[in-house]
Amino acid sequence: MPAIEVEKLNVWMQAGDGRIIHAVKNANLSLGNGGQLAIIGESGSGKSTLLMALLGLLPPNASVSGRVIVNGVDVFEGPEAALAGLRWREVAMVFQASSNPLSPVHMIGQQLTRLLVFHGHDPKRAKARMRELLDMVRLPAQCEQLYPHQLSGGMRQRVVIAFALACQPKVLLADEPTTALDPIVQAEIIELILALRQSLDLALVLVSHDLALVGRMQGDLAVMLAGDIVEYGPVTQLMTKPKHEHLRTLLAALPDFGLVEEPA
Amino acid sequence: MSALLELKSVRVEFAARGLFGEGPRVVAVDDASLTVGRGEIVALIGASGSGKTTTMRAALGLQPIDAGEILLSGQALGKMTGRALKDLRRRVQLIFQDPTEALNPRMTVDEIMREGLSIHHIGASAAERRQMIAEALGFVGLTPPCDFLARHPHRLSGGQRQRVAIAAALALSPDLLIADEPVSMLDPSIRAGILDLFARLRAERQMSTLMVTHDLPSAYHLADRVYVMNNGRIVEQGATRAVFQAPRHDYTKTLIRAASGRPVA
Amino acid sequence: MKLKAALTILGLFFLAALSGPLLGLDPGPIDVQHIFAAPSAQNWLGSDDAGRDVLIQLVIGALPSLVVGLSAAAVAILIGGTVGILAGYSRGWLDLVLLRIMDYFIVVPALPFAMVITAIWGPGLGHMIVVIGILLWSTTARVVRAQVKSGRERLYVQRARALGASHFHILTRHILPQVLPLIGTTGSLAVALAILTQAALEFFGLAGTGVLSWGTMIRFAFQRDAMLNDAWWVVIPPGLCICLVITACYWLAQSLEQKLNPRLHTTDLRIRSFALRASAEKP
Repeated sequence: MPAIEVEKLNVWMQAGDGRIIHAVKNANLSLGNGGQLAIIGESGSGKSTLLMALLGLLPPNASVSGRVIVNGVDVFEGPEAALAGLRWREVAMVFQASSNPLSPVHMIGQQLTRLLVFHGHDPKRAKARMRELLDMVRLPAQCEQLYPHQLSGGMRQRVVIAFALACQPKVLLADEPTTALDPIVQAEIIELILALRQSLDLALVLVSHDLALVGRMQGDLAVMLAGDIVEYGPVTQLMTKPKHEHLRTLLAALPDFGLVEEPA
Repeated sequence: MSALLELKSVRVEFAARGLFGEGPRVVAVDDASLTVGRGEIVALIGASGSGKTTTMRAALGLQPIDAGEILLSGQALGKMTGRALKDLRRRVQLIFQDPTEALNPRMTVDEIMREGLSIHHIGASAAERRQMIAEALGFVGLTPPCDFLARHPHRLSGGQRQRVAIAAALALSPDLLIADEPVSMLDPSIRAGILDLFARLRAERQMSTLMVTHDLPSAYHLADRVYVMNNGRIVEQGATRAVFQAPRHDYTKTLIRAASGRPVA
Repeated sequence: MKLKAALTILGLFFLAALSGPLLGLDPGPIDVQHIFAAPSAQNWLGSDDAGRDVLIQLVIGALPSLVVGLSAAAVAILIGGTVGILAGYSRGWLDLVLLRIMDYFIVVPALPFAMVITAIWGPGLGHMIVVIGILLWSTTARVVRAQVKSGRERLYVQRARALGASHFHILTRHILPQVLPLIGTTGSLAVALAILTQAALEFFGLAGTGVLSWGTMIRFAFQRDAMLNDAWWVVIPPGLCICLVITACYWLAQSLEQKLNPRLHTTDLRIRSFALRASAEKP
């Protein structure tokens, strides 16, 4: 059973002025257990809508057609309870670094422990698990005593990743996880996500507008343009032999600084 | 080439505010020297917290400095008063990172364009101002201007908003543009167009630009020279290509490796 | 919905308030035959302790209630808005001084203050407007100050500053438009509070006796033991009118807030509320 199966997914959004926007057009995607999928597109290309549709998190002004099966649960037609069980327990999400989903008035350790208990973790063992999670995202143990504003943007994003891993999910969705971070921190965060994916055998969906990040991934790449998936295939193949004009332009803008690495 | 903007050993300290009065002083910018020549695009690269934004604010005269000197066409910023200080606000124009936030959502493009002109009493008549605005909008590619004047920022795309911000700066015929991450909030496919604008300004109007950024590709494509800043110090400087191909400082190496998709750890 | 209801209620009360003087309504002379007469076809809301028609008094009493409410709110908004903008924009010592003054006025107890002022100035509608305005301005000032404080950090305000704009220019062109909607919202709340405070002051006889308003109607009803005579029609209608106007003002404030603050439009995404279509055709 694949982790994610998307068949002929269409999403329409009704705008405030009554116009209907076809946000996702006839999307077909499939991601095996432990697989990697990157979705690339500019703002408004429908990539975030597609990601939210995977968890059935669409607003009331949306309408959909097609089928989305995540971990065996039919997201659109399956029972509501199964969908609720899917979210965070089976499928977790890492949000944009700038959106800051952390509570400003609670310490990191407190928030994480509370999340664990909320999702049915034994309260006595929650603390140990919390420390384990912080260690997994390579944060020093002192961080549990700190408030979000005392951490740098990159450290906060590590905390958000720890949150996502709390319930041992099988699928990790990451929506622009490194946007608004420094290039070095960006690289570190993406390397962390990829390392965790490997060690925990997660299926990973990464949504980004940054092709340089995707170049660090294996697995599949889907390029979205105005709601269409204009290109879909293995990353390595698409990066070297892009078929669609849009991807070619994006690749042309990729930096090649001609950095000469000294042999280590 | 004479230097238009010159920072000489600038030092900026902040007093960390503790629970009881002033805490220890933090050095945000330490002994930073840089120059921007006429008709030159210079990039100041660094991570957040490296002191590049503080340096930029100092160059604008918005941040008092604790040591050193900042000269604009040979005049010291610290000694400017009254009229000269106000004219400084015209001569140095700031382009912000996020054009959506930098333009007042309640004002039309026309009002945004006229604001600077009326503050600095530029243009003898309304007709002359209209002419200047049309010319500036034309340069940034928003043509015909009448299509855009009545619009509010939310009815423009992100790239068009940044073009309006640049046009509003150009209308004041400044000596120096300071661009704070001018493309990092924009989609990759429209970045090139905005960067191209700065290149055209350099080619056609001898415009000097100081670009403050952590986006290495845009610095690489655009800048003549780069300065790399880390922990408040300028750790490396030189011609763009030379720095990117053979960085000497470890920090610069990591930065370039991260931006070109190579492992950093 | 709430906005419509609020506007309808307020509109009706304004019409009623104007019809009093326009139609030359008069509750009539003292009529000992009809002391606390129950509502009837002639006197729809019965009559009071002097045998005068309650409905007509209610209509006449609307005008001073609304006038004092609106003017006092206007005074509060004017002082509060100005002080709030100045404090929020200036930061530094001026902000600190103004903030202390606001704190001081927030803890001033309303009734004793009003008593002291009436004792010094004597009763009167104008005095009441000033008293209520003084009592209410600090709340507006605090709200406006907080908004200006965050508003002056907006990037486009910083851009104006980098352009060399004067404080006056920034205040009038960039800051004031930001806080106007907020002033509208707190303004309608201030009207509600002002009408309530006015009724309370009148109830305690701090408003002078010459004016007939809802507050004085309730006061007279209590003084003449209307409730002991089971004459509910003398007490309930003016009370109900006050409640209605205040509710309408709150609804107005709420719907204004909802219109002006898109962040309040949130939906719970946990439950599937979107539509599922059978085919891929355009809806």
